[in-house]
Amino acid sequence: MAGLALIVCGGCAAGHGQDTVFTGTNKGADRIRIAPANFHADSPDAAALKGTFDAVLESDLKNAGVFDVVSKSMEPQAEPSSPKDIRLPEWGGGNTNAAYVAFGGFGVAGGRAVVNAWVFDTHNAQFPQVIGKQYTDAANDETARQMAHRFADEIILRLGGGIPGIAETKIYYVHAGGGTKEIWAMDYDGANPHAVTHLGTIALSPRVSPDNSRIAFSALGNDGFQIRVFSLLLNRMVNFPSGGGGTNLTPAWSTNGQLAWSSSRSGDPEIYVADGNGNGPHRVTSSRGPDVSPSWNPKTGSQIAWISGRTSLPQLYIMDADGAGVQRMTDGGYATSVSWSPNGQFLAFAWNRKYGPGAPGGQDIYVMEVASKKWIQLTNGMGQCDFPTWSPDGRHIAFAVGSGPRGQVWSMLADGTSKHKLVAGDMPNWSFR
Amino acid sequence: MPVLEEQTDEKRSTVKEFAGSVVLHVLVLGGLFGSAYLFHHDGEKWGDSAEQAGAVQATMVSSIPLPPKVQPKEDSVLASETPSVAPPPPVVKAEPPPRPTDVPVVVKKPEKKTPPPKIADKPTYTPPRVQPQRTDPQRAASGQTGGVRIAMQAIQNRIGTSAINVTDQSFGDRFGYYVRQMNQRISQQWYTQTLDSGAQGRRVYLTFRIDRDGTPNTVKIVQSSGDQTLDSSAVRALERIDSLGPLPEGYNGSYINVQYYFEPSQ
Repeated sequence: MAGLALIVCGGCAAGHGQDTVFTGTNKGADRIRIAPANFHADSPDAAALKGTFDAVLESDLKNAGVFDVVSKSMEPQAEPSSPKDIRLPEWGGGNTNAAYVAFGGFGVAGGRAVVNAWVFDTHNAQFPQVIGKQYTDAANDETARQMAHRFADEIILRLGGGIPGIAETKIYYVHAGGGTKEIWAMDYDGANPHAVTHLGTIALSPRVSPDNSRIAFSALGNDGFQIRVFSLLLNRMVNFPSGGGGTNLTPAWSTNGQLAWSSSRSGDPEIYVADGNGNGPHRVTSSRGPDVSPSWNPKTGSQIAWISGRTSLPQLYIMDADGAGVQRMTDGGYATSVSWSPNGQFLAFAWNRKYGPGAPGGQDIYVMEVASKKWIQLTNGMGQCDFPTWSPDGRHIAFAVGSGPRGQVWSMLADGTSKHKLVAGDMPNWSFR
Repeated sequence: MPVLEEQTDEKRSTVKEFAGSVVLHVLVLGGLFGSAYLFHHDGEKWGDSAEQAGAVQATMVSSIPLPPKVQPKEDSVLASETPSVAPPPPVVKAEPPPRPTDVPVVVKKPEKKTPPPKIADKPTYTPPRVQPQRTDPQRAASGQTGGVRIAMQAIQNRIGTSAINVTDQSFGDRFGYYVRQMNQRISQQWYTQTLDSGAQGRRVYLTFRIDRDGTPNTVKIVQSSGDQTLDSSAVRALERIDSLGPLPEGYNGSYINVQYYFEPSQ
């Protein structure tokens, strides 16, 4: 087997401008095996926070979907605190057999937590260092968690093929309780769920803006469902013109800050597009039957996928942002909500393929390649799945299982593996970054 | 002609009229069904599961930026070559001979059935059989693709930094991890389904540049493999990649040149 040959040309203009790397492939690639070591407690009172840091770092690496994370029980007992303490053969061989090891020290001094973190390449004895970082922040559980997220994102960026990690992203969702539905937010792993709005009404389908500064959602008021906008910077509601009344639902931000939503101001639910402040709304669909749930192509910002009932049962369509070039994507069944993947290649949507009286089948999450219209089913037999939303790295999808007070927000890898529940809630929306 | 007219006028009868009408109806219906049969367009619609040649076909899950799955090995299932020792067959008890004092009973006795001796089946190793994929008749013929399409035969292949001709201070030595993750990323994006059968064993050499932010550009074929499909699949693999990750922080240069070869496995 020829394997992967790395022939590195040395001395080619070393140190200035460029180096030349010879490399090649004829076989596949496997997941990178990485061992997150327990960090060394540099001060006696750091133990509790260090435990949080270790656990969050390990779970972030596991969630990333690109690593084969070594179980802690397979790791050496040592807790190296700095590069001079670590013995790489211990980590690179034996049961651990890791290609990389993440380690470091966690100290607390004067109310500040200081984390020195490294990632070493176990098979490169001469230049083992891949990452060396220092993080300092106030010493509490939340910041320990955030520092672990930051370090994990750095590892994922450096080792995961240049796609930034999502450990620092947030998920916004609808929390039902006490007869009202409010917008809540949480970390991507379900930690730290907290309320964002306190409107005391029914708020639906939150969508966070690309710069994480505002949340648009649909809320029930005296004039029916209207698009409302909450500013995360000002921490209060900001104005959004209600326009011509009617029922306004399912807002969606484009990457350049435009807003599309569904409005029935003309009597029939149609897709409208306006700028981020709601100025200059104009209609882009014009056929009989409801048009709802728009989702922009985040890659180009010039296409919209949406759900249309123009041929009786709701189906998935895509069009240009000006309403031209309409294409139907699903060939039947009952499609409900759609999310366009960050690289623009895929649509994730909820679909009941066998819809009708007496028909088997439930509503599940599917992913379709836009170019070929080929699809795969990602969920099966776990209840009514709806509201898929892509993570910014395109490797994860969050979705809702069930609805109302019994609804749950779940997360999975975009190939349908490692599903896990995050919180009780509904209608999740993953932030852009 | 006048003769014919006369005949029809004279021999008009209900039976004939009825028969004529039946024939006419049959003709009309036959024409309808016949034309539907003749002009029925049986073309491919989108969503058909028909095989289509093109790079886009198998890119479904591979384009999701997750590493390909290593398929479970078929031969590591429970079937073993060394079966455990089979338990001995149960001893069959002989019936005692009838005593002479026994009065023969007139009533017909059903014959006592002796259970057949139990012999444990010897687990024999059967080689895994590849079953042809059967299509489910209950399933609509729209374009479902397999859940996991592997860009290539994913073989666990630990890429060492065991580089040849390494001189000090060179990029690959200093930042072995970067070369490794770059290699992995490119491997993931290389789809071998479009290759000709003649591409096996050939090798195409490319060069490209990676900028500071990780963007690959100026992809050039240095030495063609002689196989068009292999050459273009290699170039496309790099075109699919937006970024290979920012160059290592410890590296001062503004870009690196990479020479890369693609060789499909046998």
